[in-house]
Amino acid sequence: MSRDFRARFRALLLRPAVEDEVESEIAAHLELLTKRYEERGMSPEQARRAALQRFGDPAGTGSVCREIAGKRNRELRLVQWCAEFALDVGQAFRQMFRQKGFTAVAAGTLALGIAAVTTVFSFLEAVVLRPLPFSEPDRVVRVLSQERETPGNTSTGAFGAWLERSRSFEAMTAVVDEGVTLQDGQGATRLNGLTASAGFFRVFGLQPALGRFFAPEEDRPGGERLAVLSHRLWTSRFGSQPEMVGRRIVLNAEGYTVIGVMPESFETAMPGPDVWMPLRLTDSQLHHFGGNYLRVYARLRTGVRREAADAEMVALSRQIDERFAGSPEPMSAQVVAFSESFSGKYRGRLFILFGAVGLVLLIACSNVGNLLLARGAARSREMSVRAALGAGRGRLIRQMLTESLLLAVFASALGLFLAGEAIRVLIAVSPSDLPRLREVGLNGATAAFAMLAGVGSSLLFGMAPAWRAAKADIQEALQQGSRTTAGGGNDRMGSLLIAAEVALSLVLLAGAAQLIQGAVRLARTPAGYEASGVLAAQLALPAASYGTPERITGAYGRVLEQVRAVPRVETAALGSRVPLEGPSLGGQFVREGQTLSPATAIRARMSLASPGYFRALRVPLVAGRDLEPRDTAGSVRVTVVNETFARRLARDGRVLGARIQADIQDFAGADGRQPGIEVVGVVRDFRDGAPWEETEPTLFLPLTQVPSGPWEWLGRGLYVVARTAGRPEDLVRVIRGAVAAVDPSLPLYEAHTMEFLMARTTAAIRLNLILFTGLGLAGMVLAAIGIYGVVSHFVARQTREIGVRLALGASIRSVLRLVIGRGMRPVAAGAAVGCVLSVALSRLLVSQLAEVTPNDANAMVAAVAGFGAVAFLACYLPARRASRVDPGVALRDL
Amino acid sequence: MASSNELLHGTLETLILKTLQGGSRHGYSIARWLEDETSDGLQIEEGSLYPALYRMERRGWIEAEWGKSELGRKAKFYRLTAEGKSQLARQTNEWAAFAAAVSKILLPSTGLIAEKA
Repeated sequence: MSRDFRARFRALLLRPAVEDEVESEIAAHLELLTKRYEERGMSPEQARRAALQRFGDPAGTGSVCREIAGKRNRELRLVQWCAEFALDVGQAFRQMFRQKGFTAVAAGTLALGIAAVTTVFSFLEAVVLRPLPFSEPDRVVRVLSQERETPGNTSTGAFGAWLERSRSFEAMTAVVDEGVTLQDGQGATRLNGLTASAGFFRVFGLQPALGRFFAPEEDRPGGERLAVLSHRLWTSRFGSQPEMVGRRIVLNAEGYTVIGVMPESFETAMPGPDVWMPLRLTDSQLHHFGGNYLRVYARLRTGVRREAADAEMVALSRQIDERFAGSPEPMSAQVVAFSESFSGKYRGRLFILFGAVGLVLLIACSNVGNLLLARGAARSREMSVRAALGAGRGRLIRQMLTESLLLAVFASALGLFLAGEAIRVLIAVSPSDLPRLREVGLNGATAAFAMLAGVGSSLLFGMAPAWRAAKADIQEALQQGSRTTAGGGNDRMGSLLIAAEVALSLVLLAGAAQLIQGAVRLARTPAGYEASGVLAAQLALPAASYGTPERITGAYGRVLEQVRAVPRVETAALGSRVPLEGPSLGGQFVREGQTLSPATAIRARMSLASPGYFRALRVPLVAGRDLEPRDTAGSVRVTVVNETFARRLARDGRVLGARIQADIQDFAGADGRQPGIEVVGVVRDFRDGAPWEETEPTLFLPLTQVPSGPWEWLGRGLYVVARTAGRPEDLVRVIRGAVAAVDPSLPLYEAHTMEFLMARTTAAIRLNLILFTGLGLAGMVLAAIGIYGVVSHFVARQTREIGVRLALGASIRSVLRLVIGRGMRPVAAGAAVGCVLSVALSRLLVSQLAEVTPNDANAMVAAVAGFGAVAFLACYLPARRASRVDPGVALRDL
Repeated sequence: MASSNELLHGTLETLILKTLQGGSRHGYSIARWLEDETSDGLQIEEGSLYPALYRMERRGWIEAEWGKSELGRKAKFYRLTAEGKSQLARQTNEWAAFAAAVSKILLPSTGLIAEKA
């Protein structure tokens, strides 16, 4: 469309010139030739014909010449354009150096904006945009089961059915994290294991760095135990020896044969696992719809779109549901891109942050635009002179844009440098679970982005002054002289820019205020437990030596005794979770005798705990009794519940002494019946999950009464929770020794203070809070500078008028009112727009940042009030200067 | 008789440059001068002359100016540029070397052609 238009435009403008040139030249030639033949005695008619014959093909020659001339003209124009551009650049350079202060402020402002967007872009690029390092990453998806609202892991039964009946995928795999203990000459080390079904390597299209991967027939129960090492483990632990393939290693007290090493690049896509093992699901597992603990990944068939696969899986899951599951909530499924599930919560956060820095850059642009306008006013005489000397409107616009462009190039270079520094700082304070963090940095893409941002900005902020330059009215400006310069239009545009700045920075500020509000609310919500002085560490028993619940609880009993004997340990306990950490088990419960239905079922979290667990965390008991040593495998099944669970239970009867039943297959006795569990105590609600999550109904079961199923889910692992006198971290070594005294092959790992765990959970929030507050303040300062500049400019221009007013008896108050009103009008307009935008964007913020409450009116009011005060100050300072104008001086200048 | 079709590639351009060495001329006058100088030994075809002029103008060897022909019509007058002058010198040397080499083969005993121009 535009190309077509341009071609026609050129045809209109240029062809007549070229055509005329060639035509006249050939005509002159023919005329001279004819004359010559006439002189030789031919009749004019004969001579004319002879000349034409001699010339040959005037039309053909003409068209060849026209073509060459056309090219020649285009080249000439380009050369001329370049020459003019070089002139403009030279002029712009001089301009920049003549006004060093202006250049420094403008380039500095812009560089900050560019640095901000480039910094966030470099994170976005590495974490979200850069393709993952395996073959055709776009075709790899994660398949989620969906019961209730939140999509998540899948049951073995559903996976079995999907594997058998889905048609959209080339390969599908299910994985489960399984911590393993590696034992060798260097002692016992806890590793992150991943058990995966054989399709794993096809789903990700991987080639082993060494050896081979396991085949489908090796992913069956009862076969040889095989392991594939991560490249990292292979190098760090086994010195990159190629002979490792085929060697046996001891994992969880059992022998495994190493068959291969993962490619190094895959660690970017899946940094967690140290070792891969076959999942080896049994046939009965593949038909069992119990707990949802499998993560399922798949590779789409060529040509199958994710949406199509999603539709198929939704339909398929519904069928499966009708045939097998019989669960009270209908099952569905969801297919999401692997890259999306990979960057997870950070994807949205980064995009929001990117939007925020984009706003800062826009504010910086309008500020620089304003600066240029103010300077443009001072230069309008220069522009008028140029125009009077014959510079076309286009040339003037181009010259102004060239100046902007040069400024932008400077700013981009400076911004890129600042971004490099900012990236280093941010990497250091980023949450450690941010994927691909190590790949974040300046590279070709980010440099190109910075330049693009610079050039884009220069077009944005250069527009206003260029527009002004184009409208330079020669006569008016030359007549008016230098004292007063281009008036109303400049002010209107300045006001518009101010309003835009105010709106944008208010959006930022409101966002920041919402985050602050959220953080304050989180900080105020009591955790319900006392974190200081508590150490939490993990421990897991290998199945080979601890096969039965009796052996497991026996070993844990001895561990607890040893840990409690450590000096300075005040209380110690064991639990399947500590607040914020550990596997979350869930299930449905009903009062004994009731049938399971949506009305009767209580969905609850389950935790295993030893006696003393609540004491160690200082969670108060509100009714009944704590779990006690007398609750043994042989005694009545008991549980302590939290208040939320108790409230739910209290709806239909008493709580203490109530007997409930689980709807969990692994809990059933040999006869298939669910045993009754008696509620013996109620503890105060405490925050088990992240601070912004609602407390869920939770029940705590004594370790000693847990059948083998749940132990399997937990990998026979527990947390040691110890309340210590003094610094908990000082006791890690002693406690590790105490555990080793029970079994030297048991590593105590992930030992952290509870305070550290809390800080880690909120690291992302804190970072966000700091960033948004910083950006909001930066936006506000920029906008304030802009307002100050525009109002100062107004005052400077109106000094005479103000002087006259004062001379005629106007009060200082009225002058203040005039000037402040002048400045605050666009601020108010911008603030109104900003509020509307904020409300609209608030929803987006809430959807991505769990800690934010929707449309927080307080936050909004705070943002508007804070901003209003700063804007008022920015108007007041120049207004006060105006009110001190000496009428005598102002009038003398007339 | 050699027509310009048979002129070796680039020779026409060299001849034009040479023609313009004496001062600016329009296209007709260039053709006329070349034919007169060679006593009609070379006949310049307009179908080659004008494209050559436009090409050389595009390359910057010659530049043009509007003037009036002898008959009072608007005509383009071509003039050598500095680059055109050096081009002429270079091409003249090349031609001399080429002619000497060809002569060695075709006219081995005459000795009429000097070893080097």
